[in-house]
Amino acid sequence: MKRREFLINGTLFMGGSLIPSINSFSLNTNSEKRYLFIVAAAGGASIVDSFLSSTEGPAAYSSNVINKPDNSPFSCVLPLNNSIGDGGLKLGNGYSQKTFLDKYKNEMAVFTLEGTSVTHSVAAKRSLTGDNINKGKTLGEQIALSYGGQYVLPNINMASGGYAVTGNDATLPDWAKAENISDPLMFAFSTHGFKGVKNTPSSETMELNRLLRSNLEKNSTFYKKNQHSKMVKNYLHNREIVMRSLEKGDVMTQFLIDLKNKKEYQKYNLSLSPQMNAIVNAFPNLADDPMEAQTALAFLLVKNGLTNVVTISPSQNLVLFDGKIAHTSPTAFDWSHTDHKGAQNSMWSYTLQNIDRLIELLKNQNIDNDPNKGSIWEKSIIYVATEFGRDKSQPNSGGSGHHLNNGSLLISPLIKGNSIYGSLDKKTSLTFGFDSKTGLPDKSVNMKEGDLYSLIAKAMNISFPNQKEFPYLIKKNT
Amino acid sequence: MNKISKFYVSIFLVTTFISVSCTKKISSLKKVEESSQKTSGDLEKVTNQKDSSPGAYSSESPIPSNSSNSSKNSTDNTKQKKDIDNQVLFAKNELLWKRYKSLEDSLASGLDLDLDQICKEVGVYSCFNKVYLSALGGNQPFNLSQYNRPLNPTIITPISLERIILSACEARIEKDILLESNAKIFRYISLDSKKPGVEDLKKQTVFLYRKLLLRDPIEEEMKTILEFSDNPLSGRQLAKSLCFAIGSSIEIIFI
Repeated sequence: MKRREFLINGTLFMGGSLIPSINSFSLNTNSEKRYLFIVAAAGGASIVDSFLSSTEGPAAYSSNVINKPDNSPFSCVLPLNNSIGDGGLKLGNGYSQKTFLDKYKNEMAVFTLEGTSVTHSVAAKRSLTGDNINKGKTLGEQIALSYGGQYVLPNINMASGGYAVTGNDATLPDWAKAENISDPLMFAFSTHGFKGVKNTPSSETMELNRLLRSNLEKNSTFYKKNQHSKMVKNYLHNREIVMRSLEKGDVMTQFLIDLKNKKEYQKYNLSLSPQMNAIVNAFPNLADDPMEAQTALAFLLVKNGLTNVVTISPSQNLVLFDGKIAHTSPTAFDWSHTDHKGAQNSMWSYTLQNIDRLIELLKNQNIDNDPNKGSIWEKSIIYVATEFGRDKSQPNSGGSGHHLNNGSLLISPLIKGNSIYGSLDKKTSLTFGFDSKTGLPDKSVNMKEGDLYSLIAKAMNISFPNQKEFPYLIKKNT
Repeated sequence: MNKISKFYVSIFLVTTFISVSCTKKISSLKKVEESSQKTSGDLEKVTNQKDSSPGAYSSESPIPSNSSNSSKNSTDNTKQKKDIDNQVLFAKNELLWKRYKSLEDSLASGLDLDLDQICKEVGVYSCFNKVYLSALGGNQPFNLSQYNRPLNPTIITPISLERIILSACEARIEKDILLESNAKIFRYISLDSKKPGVEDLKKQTVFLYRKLLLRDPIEEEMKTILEFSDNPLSGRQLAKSLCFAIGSSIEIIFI
């Protein structure tokens, strides 16, 4: 489904009567494939409680809960016996960080950094914009702008809070901005103008109705006065061109993954996605777990060629399994204020398990279903974004506050894996950066949001003014 | 210079300063007055154009007066000001997006439906509060931690509107079929038989425009609908087509 083709076809279909000039929209015809998945680990996912964990320093764990694989700079924390309310409710889904590390360490990198805000919404946005290093564009917007012109919905955002925002670049074309999806299980309805509506007219009648509407509109005083309005132009473009393309591909059927009301769908002549079995195998709690639903939709969006940038995040609410076990902590990673180790341990498990399942699917899915093009995973980056770290020690209360010092996790075949960019001072449990020329750890340096942004962009073959350069961190021939 | 001289010089300087300030104030006030007179004159021209322009379709359906547009200085524009037509109303430069709650209320009022009768996907999921909340400009801060609304209509806003209007029109048609001669909205079209005659179709069109878009159709719009009615459609199909075409037009989503 190529944007350029349906733009042209759409204009011909409507005879150009109501469609804004095709030249008024920036057409990016780059057909190269690049995919970005942003996992917004909301609330402060601490790297020293996961892949830079240690038996020393203020943030130390006991040696029996730390695992350190051979031939890797990483370490990880095994599942702890977490609970909410002093044992009242078990906390954690049991997924081990070790499982993730064993599978993906060669494609993992930790980028140590010290952020610039401890306010959730501000820090969340800066983790996406690199603190405005690229004219305020978020990473998702930049990747969509560079590689998303070929997709109908290049940039999808299912996250919340400070991660569900647009960037600050007023010149960014609207089509590269994120489309927010509140409920992934309902997304399918947004892809067809009339399928599944009660007593739907035939397609031919609907086309007549739409033509009537267009003819009425073009004569109306409203249209004559406001046809040059950007909002009106965008609206018409989306209605007359984008929507038609979604309908043509019968995208709706591919995305119906709502298991809860299967019988109701049948009454409206709708059927669930043909990929339902594979989806349910990967995400068995899809119907009740928002992040599983988001991750499932993320996979379907890229698989079906609609999108190349997706942002997902764990729910800020409690997700209960069987009514007895909490898979997530309330307020996600920010539950650390109350129970630091419980929140970090459970939320890292929850987040990493979803990422694990996503990678499995991406590895087994060829781009455009063409084995010659390789798997989607080979052209992907998963960026685990988070606002900040947490206090390195939790005396007495067991809770921790926000802390600027942290590190971010990247998983991708496009970057140099099994690596820590920077290092950890085990005495203080604080991370520090690296010399930008040599790549060697340097205690006098702390990397910032803009540095990480620069690296991810470069891994995607994107350059922009004032970009920081770390060529030794990118795999050659990416 | 002796003290007396200094005193007189000071008086002179103060007096000069005051007179200069007053002069500037007076001239700026004059400019404001001239400007408002010009605006009043322009308004008069626009309202006078109503008589020669196509204006509303039906001269038998007087346009509601809107005295709130009278200007303080327009003492001469009493009668014309009262007959302000849609051309003046749409002379605003800024468009506002009619978001989910306003849209829902408009449709409930326009099609005489309860809020929960307008649209539910597969008969279960609320279109406005769940399925299309973001697309229609809303946000859910408590359950979904959405703290911001979309600034402008999104890519999927038009699809959302189409589905909602189709659903709402169908709901109204079903109700009016049961009400028969007491139909509330489709009172000029027989929903269980052939399409209406020309005069009934005109009345129905005017009625739908008033209910959904709060105005009368202009001549070109009425002509378009009459031409459309030449298609082989039953009364019910025609009713749905009109309801959809008028209800999902771009005009309904902006104010």
